[in-house]
Amino acid sequence: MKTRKTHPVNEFKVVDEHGKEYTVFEYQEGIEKTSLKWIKAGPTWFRLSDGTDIDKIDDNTFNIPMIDRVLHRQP
Amino acid sequence: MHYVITDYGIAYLFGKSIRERALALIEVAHPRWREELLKAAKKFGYVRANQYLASQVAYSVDEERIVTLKNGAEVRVRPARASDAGALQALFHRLSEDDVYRRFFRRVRSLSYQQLQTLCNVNHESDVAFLAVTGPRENEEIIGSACYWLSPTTNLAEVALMVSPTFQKAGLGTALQAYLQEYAMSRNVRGFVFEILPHNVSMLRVAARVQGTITTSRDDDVVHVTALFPDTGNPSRSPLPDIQDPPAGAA
Repeated sequence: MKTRKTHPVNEFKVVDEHGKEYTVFEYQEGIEKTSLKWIKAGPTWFRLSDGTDIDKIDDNTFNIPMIDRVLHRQP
Repeated sequence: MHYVITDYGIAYLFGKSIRERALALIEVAHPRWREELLKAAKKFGYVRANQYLASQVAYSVDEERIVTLKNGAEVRVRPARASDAGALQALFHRLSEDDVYRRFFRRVRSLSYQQLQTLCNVNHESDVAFLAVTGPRENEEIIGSACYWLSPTTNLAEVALMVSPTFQKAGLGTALQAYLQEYAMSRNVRGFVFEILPHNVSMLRVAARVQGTITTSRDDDVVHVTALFPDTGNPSRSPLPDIQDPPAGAA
């Protein structure tokens, strides 16, 4: 039986309204199969590279709840 | 010394690291001595403490095959060995970020040694790995990797492929899949299972070319393809399964 692990599964850039760029890591709870494929098996959450948790509003929009700053995903 | 030949294979040593040389030599030793040699190599620090050798049989030259691709290139497909880890890592680093995501379903910067061993240090029975290589035998470049892992409960094997960007769209994935199927059928495997991201159209096409009865299902993130091999020696090719259009915004 494979145990659940938490891994950063994705990484992308976002910008705030001042054009400041942030790196976002998408973390996911899941299982790494023998084939090394990652199968999602739990919640997903997002965090900036400095460790600040952020909320996902939609696929392209995020929010830093502590300072209520909106971040937009770069194409 | 460039290479050592025994009854159990050829170890190419020139230009290899100490770890690769030690493993290559152990892999061509008589199976009776391999455990002892591995233990000694660990003691002297030539190999990692958690190194293992999944296969205890001779390297099977009979399983080597020359494949001609659509672009006319000839590549050799051969069983993987534990000492292929370094060259496999080189293949991984030639993949694009998207290729890596499509293969591992997440961003991966580098494969750990343990992960590499999963892809090349196999017993060739329940865990099977073949590599497509170019270049001279003593200095091969790995351009493709094809593995399957057999579930003892279902007798179905999960398949995973990696193909170097320079050999993509040349038919290498299909050739590797066909060879895996031939190998699996000769070992009475019931069929293949593929887990594929919905936008990975090329891999969906490779899965669709498995000879047998193909069924697909899809959940939010993954397309599950099950291909049951034909029972008779006269397999009929099944129609292509529904390949989902790439979702908007997908690569």
